[in-house]
Amino acid sequence: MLKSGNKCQWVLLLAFLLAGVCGCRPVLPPSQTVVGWDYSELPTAYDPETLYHYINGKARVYLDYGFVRLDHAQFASPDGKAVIDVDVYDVGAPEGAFGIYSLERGEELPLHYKRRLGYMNGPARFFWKGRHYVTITSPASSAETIQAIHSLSSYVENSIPGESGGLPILAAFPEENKVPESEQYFATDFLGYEFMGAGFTASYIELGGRFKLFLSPKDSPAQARQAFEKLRQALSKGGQLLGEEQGIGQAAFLAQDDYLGNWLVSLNDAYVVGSVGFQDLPAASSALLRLCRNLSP
Amino acid sequence: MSEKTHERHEQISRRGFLRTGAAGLGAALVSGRLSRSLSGAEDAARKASPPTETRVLGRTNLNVTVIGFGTYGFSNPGVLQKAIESGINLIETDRTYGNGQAEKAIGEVVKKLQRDKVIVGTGWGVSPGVTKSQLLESLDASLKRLQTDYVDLLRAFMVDDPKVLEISEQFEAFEAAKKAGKARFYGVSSHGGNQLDVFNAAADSGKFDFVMGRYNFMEQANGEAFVKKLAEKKIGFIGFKTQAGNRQREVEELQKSGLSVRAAAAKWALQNPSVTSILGAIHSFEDIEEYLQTAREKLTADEQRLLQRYAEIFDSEYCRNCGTCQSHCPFGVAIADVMRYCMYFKYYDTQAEARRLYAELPPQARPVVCHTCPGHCVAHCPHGLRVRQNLQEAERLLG
Repeated sequence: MLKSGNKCQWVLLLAFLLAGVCGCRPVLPPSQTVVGWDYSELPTAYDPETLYHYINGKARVYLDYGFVRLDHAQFASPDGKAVIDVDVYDVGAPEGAFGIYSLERGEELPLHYKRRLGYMNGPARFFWKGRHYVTITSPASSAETIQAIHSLSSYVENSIPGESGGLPILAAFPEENKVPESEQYFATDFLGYEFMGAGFTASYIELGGRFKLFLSPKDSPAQARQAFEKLRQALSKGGQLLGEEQGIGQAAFLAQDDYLGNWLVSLNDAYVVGSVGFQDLPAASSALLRLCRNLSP
Repeated sequence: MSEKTHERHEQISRRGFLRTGAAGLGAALVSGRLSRSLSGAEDAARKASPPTETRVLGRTNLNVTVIGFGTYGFSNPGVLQKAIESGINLIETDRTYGNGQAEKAIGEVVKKLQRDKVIVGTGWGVSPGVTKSQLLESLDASLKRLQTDYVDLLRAFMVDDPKVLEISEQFEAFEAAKKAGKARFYGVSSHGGNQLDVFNAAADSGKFDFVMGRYNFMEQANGEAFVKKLAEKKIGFIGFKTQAGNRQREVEELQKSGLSVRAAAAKWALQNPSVTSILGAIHSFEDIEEYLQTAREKLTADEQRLLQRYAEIFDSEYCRNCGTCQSHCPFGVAIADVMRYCMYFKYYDTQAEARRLYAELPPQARPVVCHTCPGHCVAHCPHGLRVRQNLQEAERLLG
């Protein structure tokens, strides 16, 4: 029979292992993680039904990205003059976490940018890890507050299971002429069309402007063809089809509309891919070909 | 794709691309369509659909469409351009949306339009310690991203403390911006728990031309009262959060009748002529037509019943009376009773009765101490409800 002390150790070990296996919730920093900073709002959880109470109308977008749960707490400085909100969103999958992160970050690189996984913007830190998107923000910008934000951030980051890392699919976007870290993920209404579902974009520099490469993964080649044909129909109706193009994927067409400009769209196995908003056709087609090549098994 | 094919395309020249492309492309070039389409938004307003209803935004005298284009999560200029072509003339954003990406996407469209055909609004952040020059720098950065010389509507963004409205630097900065032709009208937005206090303070100050806030059928009593007060002072009101939540399960169940909760909620908000406009979450081309169709129709009796049913479900789910919060309150506040009386006040048109019941509670059972507490009730609520905030609202309404 195990002694009670040993029992406790086994229980703790089991709990730790279960937490690792389940993937599990990160732990919010306890009070006094930063000395003197105490809870001004105790840890609170929000689910898809109640998220609206916390972030209002933004909730719809978070739900689109697969939001599962928010863990929130607020810390107050020793003198009570500054507060820091710690919000850890479980978005269900890395794509969702990256999606909201990239949506809220925008294309331009904020100050103190630190690779693809996070950045500081004023007295606020944003990062994603695994299926979690984390914001640690304050209206105050004193050096003490910034330091506390870093400490809380480190605590949360370390409490999220797994390794930090980007999404493998983003590697398909060719590096040449790409606006650094401009990749974004949209969970719904991709490119403005409901039937397109989800997809990724990245921005590229061309002479006199920018254009986007896009990539919309589907569950099967048949589904990809269906979306490809619907997009062709939609652009035919809302713009003008300019013709078929050979040599890019299984099928490709060139089109224009008044909204996003020039489109070069290709069907590539289980992906609908394309260039949009370009002025330089050779540059756009060349980038698209590289994207297709990178997607090849 | 073969490597050979890839190489062919890598080396392709513009002329070569056109030659290998279909005949349609050549025809397009002959007609000049390729170059024209790249600035295709320039005549968007000219192609507008039959006019969407407009209302006057308080003392600004701006004619604003009843549906505005909200831009949180927005990044697709094409959808905005289509919305403008379809008749929507109000675009509302903020510098924080996508770290300025929303403003940049709007700028891609606005720069091609006759500027006075659209009403563009954005926000700046006002907080204690902010300086006039910081605010003006923020506005200049927004104007640069928006690719315009001015915004029609400039607002203090998401204010949750009425004291923020007393910060004089914002008015000095606005006057400077107005003099320089960079902003036309000043307002404030809020949707937190203190929205009512913020809007009352805004109305009393006389310094705001418009306000933006949540307005929905779930908060009818509060909403109609402050919108009426704003209208009396000729302060324009733009509503958002008209959907009153994202309770998808209930919505799906209710919509089996064939009615749309989203459409009904929007129509409910627009019934009030003092609501100048509501901001739609327009993310796709399909959303545009749905919102505009909504704006053309009146709320039906069936839709009214749908909203009532939704409100009943929402209320019962809003607080399930499980008592968990009560057992964790260190001050002995009668949480369930207070929440119930607040519900009577807000939704059941029995405001006097609600106040009477509240007055009968022992003083220590009222939520007067909640502002000093970190929220044990919130932390322990199994449904994630903002109990403390609701209690503070109850004290404000009933106390």
